[in-house]
Amino acid sequence: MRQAKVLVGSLLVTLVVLMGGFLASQWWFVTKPIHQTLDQQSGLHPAKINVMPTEVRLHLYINPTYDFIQRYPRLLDKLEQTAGHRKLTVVLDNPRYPELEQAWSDLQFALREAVVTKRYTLIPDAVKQVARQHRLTYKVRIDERFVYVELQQADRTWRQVVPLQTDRAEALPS
Amino acid sequence: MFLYLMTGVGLAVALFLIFLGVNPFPLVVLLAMVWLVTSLQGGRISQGSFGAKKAANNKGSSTIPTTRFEEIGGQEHAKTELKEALDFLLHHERMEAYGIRPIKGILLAGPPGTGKTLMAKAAAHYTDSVFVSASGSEFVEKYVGVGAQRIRRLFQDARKAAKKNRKKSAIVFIDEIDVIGGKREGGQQREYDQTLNQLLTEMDGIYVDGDVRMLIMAATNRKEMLDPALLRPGRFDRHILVDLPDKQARLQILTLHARNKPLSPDVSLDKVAQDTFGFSGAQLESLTNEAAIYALRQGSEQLEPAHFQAAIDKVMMGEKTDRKAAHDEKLRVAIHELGHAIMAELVQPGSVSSVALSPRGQALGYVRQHPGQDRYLYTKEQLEGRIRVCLAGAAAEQLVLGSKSTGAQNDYEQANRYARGLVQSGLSERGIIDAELIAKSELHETTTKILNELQTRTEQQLASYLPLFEECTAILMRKEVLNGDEFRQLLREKASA
Repeated sequence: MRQAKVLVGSLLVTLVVLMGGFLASQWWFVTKPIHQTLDQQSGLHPAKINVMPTEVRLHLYINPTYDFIQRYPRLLDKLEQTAGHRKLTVVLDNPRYPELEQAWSDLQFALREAVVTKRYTLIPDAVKQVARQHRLTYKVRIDERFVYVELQQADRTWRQVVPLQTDRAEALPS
Repeated sequence: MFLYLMTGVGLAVALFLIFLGVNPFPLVVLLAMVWLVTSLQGGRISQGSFGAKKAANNKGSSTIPTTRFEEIGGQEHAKTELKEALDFLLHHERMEAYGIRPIKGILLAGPPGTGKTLMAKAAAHYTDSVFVSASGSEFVEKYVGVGAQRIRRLFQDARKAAKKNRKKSAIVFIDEIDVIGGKREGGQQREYDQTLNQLLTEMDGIYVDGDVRMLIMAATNRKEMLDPALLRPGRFDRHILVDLPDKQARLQILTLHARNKPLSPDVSLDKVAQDTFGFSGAQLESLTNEAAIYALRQGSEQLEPAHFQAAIDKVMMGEKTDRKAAHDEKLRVAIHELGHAIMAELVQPGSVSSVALSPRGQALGYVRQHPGQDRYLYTKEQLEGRIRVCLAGAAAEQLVLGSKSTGAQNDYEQANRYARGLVQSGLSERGIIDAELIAKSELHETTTKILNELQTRTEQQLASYLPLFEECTAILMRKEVLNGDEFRQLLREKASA
């Protein structure tokens, strides 16, 4: 009986020590720096940060006034540096606007086709066509890894990041 | 306990690795291999069965034995000598004032079962020291260096245990030291040498701890085999002989062990002590225990003299066996034993303790004699008497049945030993001889001559008792066991008739 108590006790104490140490180190080395990075960016609010041993999952709410196309790619680089070896997954929490949602839905087919066939020059035309069709303004940007799309109608915005490599999913559609 | 603790920690680490997404299997296999190798190398140490480990783990005063010198029967001389040596540990300030070098070690030498371990425990109690013990065989391992490591650990643990128990001295007791302390010769294994070297280093006091005074006690029953380096002054300074108990000591030991047993008023422990010449303390303890077992088996409320007699037979000859002899074989054994018994009474009247026809150990029957008083020297007549008793069994067979049997083989071996003793002691017609220079054939010739002469004398003496054999044999075959008094009574009755 005493041996069983010793075994269970040592198991629990070790687990508490290891998990406590792990969580504390995650908070100190990952969560806190991410918060600091986001705090420096006006117009961004972290809705939720989940730090796991192999992944950092970040839910972001972006204000309509935030200059998404210019500032977000640089922010993503910083966040990836902070996450270190963990895979960074950013989920953009776009508010539900039926018209913008419909426009995004219409755009997705052409966008995905351009990415899969790697005919990236088709992307601006496809976005332009959908924006005109739904009477929206738009911004689009591409870099080595992602296509950044912003659709806007008055003070309502819809932002999305589409990975250029089809097996990557750093940014997911909401 | 350490094993369970580490198992819990290991499980927790494995769970944590799974949480981190690391496959823990290779690590688990690695740890299992490390554990296996460690337990193979020094299993006894890691599992805490080592004497020192046990002592270090014990709490409170449990490491100080409760055995007192008063509880050890006999050995008065050894106890006095040991106490004198221990006084050096007790009154060390006075010794320092006189510039006396403290005693490093005490060697207890003597036959098995004479209470050497008990003496060491009593020494620890007497000096209020922590007692840490190990057997010589615990240091023997096939891996080189493990024995030396265990010696180091033993001494370290003794120091730790003393500090933990807030004692100023510790006694390290190594039983059967001849296992590791045997003479170092060219052909001996390196492992043994390393172990012994480490022991000598520890005894030299290179690793001295000012707070704890260490005394090493060791026990052996083969002192002559020990390495001279162990026996020199500065190592084992005192050699104390713990010998087989004499009659007075046997009585004391029997009284001690019979304290908690219901003895019948008819039991004379003095007589039991007289009958148990050559018994060690352990055998005497076993004897009282066996007597109590016999009493329990028979449903007797008290231990009777018969229980003690049966217990002596058991300790001396072994347990009764189920061998069923044929009638003619049993008759031959009865005649053989009667021959021994009659001759024993003729040589030393009143010396027969029992005549038994029940098979015990390897013997089909036996005659138990007591020497009357403890004897350490024998005259020529006494030795010849013993030879005659040995030869009387076969002589009786020849006289009564007209033939001898193989049952006398052991008797002849013993008779030959006595005869050789006679020749080597200068008691034969050859006078004083050098046993190493005399040819074996000459020795054999002389002993054979002695034995033949004594055989003739034995047959002549027994021939006058021939009419007794028939009746005595019938009684012995019916009763199977006759005690000494019964046998003498029978002998008297038949002789007068």
